Amino acid sequence: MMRTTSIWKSYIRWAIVALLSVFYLYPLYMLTVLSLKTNEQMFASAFGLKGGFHFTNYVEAWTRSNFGQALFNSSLISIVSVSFIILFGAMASYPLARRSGKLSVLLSLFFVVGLIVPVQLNLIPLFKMMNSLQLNQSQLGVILLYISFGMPLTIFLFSSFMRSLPMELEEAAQIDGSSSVGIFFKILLPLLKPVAASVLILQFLHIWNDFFLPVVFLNTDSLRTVQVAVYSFSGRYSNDWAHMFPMIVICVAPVMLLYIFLQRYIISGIMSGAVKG
Amino acid sequence: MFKRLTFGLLISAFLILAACGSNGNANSENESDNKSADSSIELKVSLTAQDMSGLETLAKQYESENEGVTINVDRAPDNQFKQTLGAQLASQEAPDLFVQWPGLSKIGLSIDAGYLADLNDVAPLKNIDESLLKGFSKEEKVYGIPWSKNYLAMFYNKDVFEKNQIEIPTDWESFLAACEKLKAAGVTPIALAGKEAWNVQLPWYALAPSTVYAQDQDWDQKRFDNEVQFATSDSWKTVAQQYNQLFQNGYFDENTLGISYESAKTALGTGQAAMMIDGNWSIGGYEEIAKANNIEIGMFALPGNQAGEDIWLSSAPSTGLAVWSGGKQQEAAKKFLAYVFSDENYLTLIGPGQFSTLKTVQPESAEITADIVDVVQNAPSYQFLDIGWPAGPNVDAFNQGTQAALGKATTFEELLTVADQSWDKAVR
Amino acid sequence: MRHKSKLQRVPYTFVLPALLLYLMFFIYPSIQSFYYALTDWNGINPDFNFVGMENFLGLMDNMRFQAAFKNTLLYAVGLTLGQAIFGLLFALLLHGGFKGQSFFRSVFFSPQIMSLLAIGYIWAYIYDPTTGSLNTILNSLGLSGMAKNWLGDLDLALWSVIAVSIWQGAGWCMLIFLANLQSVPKDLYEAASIDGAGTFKQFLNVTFPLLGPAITITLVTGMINGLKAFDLIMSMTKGGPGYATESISTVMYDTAFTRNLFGEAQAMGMIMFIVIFIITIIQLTALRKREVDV
Repeated sequence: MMRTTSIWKSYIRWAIVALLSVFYLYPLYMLTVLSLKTNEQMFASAFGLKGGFHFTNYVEAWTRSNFGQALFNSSLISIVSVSFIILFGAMASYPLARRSGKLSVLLSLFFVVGLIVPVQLNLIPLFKMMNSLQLNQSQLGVILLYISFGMPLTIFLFSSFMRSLPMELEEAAQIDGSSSVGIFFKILLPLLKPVAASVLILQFLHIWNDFFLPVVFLNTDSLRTVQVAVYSFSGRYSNDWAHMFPMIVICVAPVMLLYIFLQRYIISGIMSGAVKG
Repeated sequence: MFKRLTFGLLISAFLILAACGSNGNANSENESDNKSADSSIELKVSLTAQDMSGLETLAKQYESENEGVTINVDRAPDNQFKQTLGAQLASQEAPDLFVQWPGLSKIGLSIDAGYLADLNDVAPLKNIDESLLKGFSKEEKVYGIPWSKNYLAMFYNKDVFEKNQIEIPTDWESFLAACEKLKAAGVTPIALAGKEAWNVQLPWYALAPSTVYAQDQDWDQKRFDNEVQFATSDSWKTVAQQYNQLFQNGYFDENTLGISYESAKTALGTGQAAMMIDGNWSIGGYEEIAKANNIEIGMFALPGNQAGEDIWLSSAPSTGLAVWSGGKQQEAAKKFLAYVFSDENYLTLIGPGQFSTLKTVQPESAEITADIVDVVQNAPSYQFLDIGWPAGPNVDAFNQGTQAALGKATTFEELLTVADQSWDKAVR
Repeated sequence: MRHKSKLQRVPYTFVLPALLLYLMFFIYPSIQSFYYALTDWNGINPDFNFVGMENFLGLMDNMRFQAAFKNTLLYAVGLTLGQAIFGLLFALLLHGGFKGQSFFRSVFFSPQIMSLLAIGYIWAYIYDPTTGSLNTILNSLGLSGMAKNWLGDLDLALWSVIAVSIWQGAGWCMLIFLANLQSVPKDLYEAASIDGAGTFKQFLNVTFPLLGPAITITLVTGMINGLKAFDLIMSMTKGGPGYATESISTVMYDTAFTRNLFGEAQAMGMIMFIVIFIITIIQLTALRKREVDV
């Protein structure tokens, strides 16, 4: 009796999950199907099954937007930025988490402000500054911006995670004569790996999908990123969907792989990190 | 595993960063080398995504003909283009040549700020229709050269018209009659892409010239002088009433506000709808739709006029190319400008399906334009409304506002009051 | 909470790299641009005047801004509650030895990895009233009455956009709740089931009170994201029809770059900042208090 109800329960649960996931898989299916249509067929049928599939969309869009170069640029910028976001964010969180004075609280709040201010309206002062530093049209410049803008969320997550870590290890290391730099790199940094995984994926997604900074600061052909390449097919009154959708699909692929690789770290990262905050 | 990965990433990141830094330096050194050598000229051109599709080709050609000249062309979608250019101009680091939109509230702002070079000495200017230069000029000086001539038209499905035995209407009454006949036959007369605010504004643009501006071409100036108002002007009331008639008689799809541009075009192609209002710049898209559905599509001017009166066309210059007044290579930029607008290069510049701004060059007219060509060449015309207006009334009343009227949240007549308020606020 | 440590004080020099970058590329430009809120700068002309609070006062009778303000609050609340509820539901369904668990988790998380603009395009297509799949499916199921003009109806459009934002954000909340659920000790469940508590009762009495931290995070980040809503709206409706889906960010963008009223746009940005700041502080205080009470 007990047993049959629990089996029934699991069937019901499975049915609910399967039903819900249809809502999630369908738009992905739609994206894939649409990426294989010509512009005229795009709106011809609700499920995109009429009128054949055009795999040439991918080839055309790839070559016309010089997508290989864009993939390289985006990977470079995302990897470098995220690495430094993690390093600098972890460093900054260390004193903020381990000290309890007024300065520490103030600094933490000061960084929270960064979560709130909309970046778009800072464009003009930012642009002037980037010019005077000769960082316009340079990947280094955009990387510095991403690192700066990534600090608030990263410090928020890292410092709440660190507060939940026991201090005994650090105390022991200190008695053994380690400096705070030594403690940070040898003891703390390795312990941060779960929360670092979630910061990594969050920031990587953000940078990979960002259109705003590259279109302003990297609008030279050789420097363009994937999102700039995607939106090179958007027009004044209508978009060139037949070339835009394939590029959107290709853009998703690398991040999807990264997510699958990091999945188990992310869950444990959020568990032991922010939630205990 | 993870530790090693992180470590590896960090090390490589440092290395790459160092490489980026030195790259950047190398670039700037090259640039300063270029500047010091007299013979080499580097021009930067910024364009919107679609305008002047042949410019890259011409730039390459120009480079090969003129040793020491390099031309870098970059493009961005409209919004991003505007945003970037604004920042570039404000920080005195703009491209040598860039796109500008005609009109007081657009290129006018850059002219007032002193960012644009006077182009009166650029040779091909004399070949360009003067009326098209008006939107780019201030006090007898021209600051931008339009590359194409635009006008609004009703694109119609010829097969549907033939099947229902409808002739091309030439005045308002016959237009209404045609719509009624189509509606009775179960066809949506007009596929208005109500989801796109810009498409919703086009009927205003197309109707006002025949009623408002046919009577008084200086209406805008009088509005600036506060002698007239939208809400108290009979001719504007007529226009609002005409739009309202189309709506109340059910000549748009009942779901019109949810219909996207692509969806409306599909409806035209399949014959579910008979007409669609759009600009001549989209001709290429309609030709493709016609081909895909094995039908014929034609164009005519939306007749806002009463029987016996003239039909006025809504017509305007496209965007134009301007030269930055702060650039170090202005002479070279003007030389390149003269090159792309020369008679032999002009057709390459504008690409297929566009209309010429040069009196000296006429592209072959496409088949799709056969019915409208006479009106385009001979009928009187008035510019797109926003060109002569301050920024504000157009958005508040005639595009997003009109969407609200189509959703019955307001009326077409009330929109005229909104336009007045918005105008007064903008010029205050 | 924190026990007195024998630990030497960690030097603040560790904060320097982050702080310097943050000050230079974020705080400094922000302060500069806030100054423009007090001017009549058009974003182009180097000459402009100081106008004091005029831009702020002008917003009081700006219908479009007011519509946007109301929409933004609705959007933020709708998104925050919706994604928290669905996120919690997904987490409960996919928690603890469920076959295909990690596959389904990836499915629900998948919208997170796409750009919001791309998501907006796809959903706008699905929502199309005549050829979109949603209405087509409803019609073929005999539910024509439920087929709506999803993005074209002035009263419905905002909710259609909110629905997509919930769809997008629920996966993120699911992850946070999952992580939190893992920290709920198993013996608590067991104790509850020995007492004969039903599943729902067990959830209400045992699990829910322990989800405080996850609730804090989802509500705070949800409100911040909702109040800044921009990309999804731009790609689905551009603020239309009428002003039905305008948000503070979309109006701000249009005011700055289409109407060239840069000062006024900055004033909007300033107001948005203040609103988000106040709401975030209230939320953090209230939720932290609740966590402690539990």
